[in-house]
Amino acid sequence: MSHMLHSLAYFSRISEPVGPEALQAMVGDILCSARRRNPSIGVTGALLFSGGCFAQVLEGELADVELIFETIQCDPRHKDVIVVHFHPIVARSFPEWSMAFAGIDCGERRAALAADALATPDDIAAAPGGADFVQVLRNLVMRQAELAS
Amino acid sequence: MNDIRSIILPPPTASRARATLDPHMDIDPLTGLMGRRRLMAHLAERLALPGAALGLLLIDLDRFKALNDSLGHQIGDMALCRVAQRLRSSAGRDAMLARISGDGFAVVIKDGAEAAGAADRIIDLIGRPYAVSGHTFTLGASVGIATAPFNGVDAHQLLDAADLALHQAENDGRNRHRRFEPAMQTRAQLRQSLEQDMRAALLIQQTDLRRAMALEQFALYYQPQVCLKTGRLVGFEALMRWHHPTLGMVPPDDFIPLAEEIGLIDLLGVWALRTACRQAALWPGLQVGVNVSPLQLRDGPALVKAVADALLESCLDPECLEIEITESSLMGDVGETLHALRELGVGLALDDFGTGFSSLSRLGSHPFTRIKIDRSFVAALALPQGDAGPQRTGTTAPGWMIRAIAALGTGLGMSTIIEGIETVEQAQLAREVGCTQMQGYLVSRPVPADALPGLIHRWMNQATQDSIR
Ligand SMILES: Cc1cc2nc3c(=O)[nH]c(=O)nc-3n(C[C@H](O)[C@H](O)[C@H](O)COP(=O)(O)O)c2cc1C
Repeated sequence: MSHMLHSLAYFSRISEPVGPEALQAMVGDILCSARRRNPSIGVTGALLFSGGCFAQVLEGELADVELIFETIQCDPRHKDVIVVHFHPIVARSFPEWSMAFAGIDCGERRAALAADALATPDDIAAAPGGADFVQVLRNLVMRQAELAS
Repeated sequence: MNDIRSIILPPPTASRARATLDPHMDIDPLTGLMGRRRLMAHLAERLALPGAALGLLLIDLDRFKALNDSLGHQIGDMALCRVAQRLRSSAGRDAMLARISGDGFAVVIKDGAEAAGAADRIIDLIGRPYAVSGHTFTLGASVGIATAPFNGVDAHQLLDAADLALHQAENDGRNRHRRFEPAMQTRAQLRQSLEQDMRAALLIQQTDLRRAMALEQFALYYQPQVCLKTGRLVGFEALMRWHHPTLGMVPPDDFIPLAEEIGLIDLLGVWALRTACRQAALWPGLQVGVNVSPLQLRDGPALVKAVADALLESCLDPECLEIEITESSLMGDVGETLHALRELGVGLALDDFGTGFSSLSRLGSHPFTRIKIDRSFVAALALPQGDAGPQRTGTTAPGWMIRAIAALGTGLGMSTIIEGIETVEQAQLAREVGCTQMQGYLVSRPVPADALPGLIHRWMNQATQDSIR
């Protein structure tokens, strides 16, 4: 059981509102931590920041996903964590990313980009099973990657 | 009587379930935190220093028992380890942590002024979701705070103060912290004396001596029940009253929860059964209904035996006894007990119908003989009835609801009694929608046993029974 691949997705709210620069820096730090640590335990996934909320998918072996989730849980930079799904998966949706970044809404262009894929995290939460959530994140990650190149 | 309710806080430390952990343990092997004994030694040591000041936080988990019950002890234990880790990261670097009961923790911090901030961080962190062995769940935390030297100068004083504050936090709705206040002490003492009074009163009553009877504080009152078709008296519901020597009449809504909490409900319940049966044996042909608490129902064999004993002792015809069970008691696994009671020949009433969880469709799966429709339905009766029915409007038609309940009851061979009837008009409406019996102020308020012969006599001759025909 603990070796089976699992996917966990959650939403959370940023603890306190911060300016765009501090936000950039904060998200940068989080991604840095993730990209340093996740490869060492084989966790992959994607992170989105939009409208003051984080959305994240974590995938890997059960025990590893739980370990990383527990660390993230206790991070004071966010609060009001709501788990969207937590279940076994057959294959990873983000195999090639230790933590893909699906966007941040402080740049106008990117905000527009995110907005045409989703309205609010609540809309995603309303989607049954959270399957759509992963799909939306995947699309965003792909377009983000295109923009960057 | 309002202040009685506020006295009835959760029980103090001694009677709470602290049994799962060895209090003499120095280190808790599961979480690696200090045990209770080490905590006390640690507190004593620090408080012995001149000018000692510190903050003590007691933390109780909410919903931990439910977690253990639903996902098992293994996951429960893992959750406790996570909680211990989260405590460590939220309590501050130089905090001392202890696990002092199954789901209770203590934190000692240097600066009492920081206790509230630490408590809020702890409540926040412990309340965040957990992912353990493929399951996600949440827990909650309530925190009680006491500081030295203000609230106590020795370890026991401080622990007691923090415990009182913890109970206040739990009583105020959990997921919050409370600081100790002297008023908590007063309330706890009042509650304790009420508890003692109740024990004493019940024990006196138990001895059953003539001399003691004069001291009786507990009494049964009886409220008559009348057939809506014939207007005939069919029986009574027995209702408990407590005449407290100094507080006066304590309403059942206040003392029954207290009795349940301090484990006296069985005693009280058995007394009520015996007393009601003895009384009912004096009124041939009339039934008596006795309420049974969900806690009594949980120990099925004991309840069945108590009923059988009461019948035997009073020589009451089993058909003249009815056991009243509330809808909410049916949550557990009570089918066997209900059938065993029916086999004794007693009636079974489903009490407060319409306020709990049962659905009409589940009604048939238990051997009830009567449905007691809750008084909250009476107001609905006053609405225009003539055209009541689901076809009338899209909204609920309450007359139609009662009609459906009554029809279902009749179909299942149960009678339906409606409670809280106060006017002749309501009685007529109740009959129109198919209820078979009624209970309420229209007939009479609950009366003491010695007023019963007069009441029975009056009712047999009175005009009220004609007016509803
Ligand atoms: C929304 C959010 C997502 C995060 N995702 C990860 C992650 O995927 N992997 C990770 O190691 N840390 C993640 N973190 C950061 C951790 O909470 C923690 O700060 C970090 O692991 C500390 O490690 P470091 O000291 O090596 O940076 C996340 C934090 C937040 C607020």
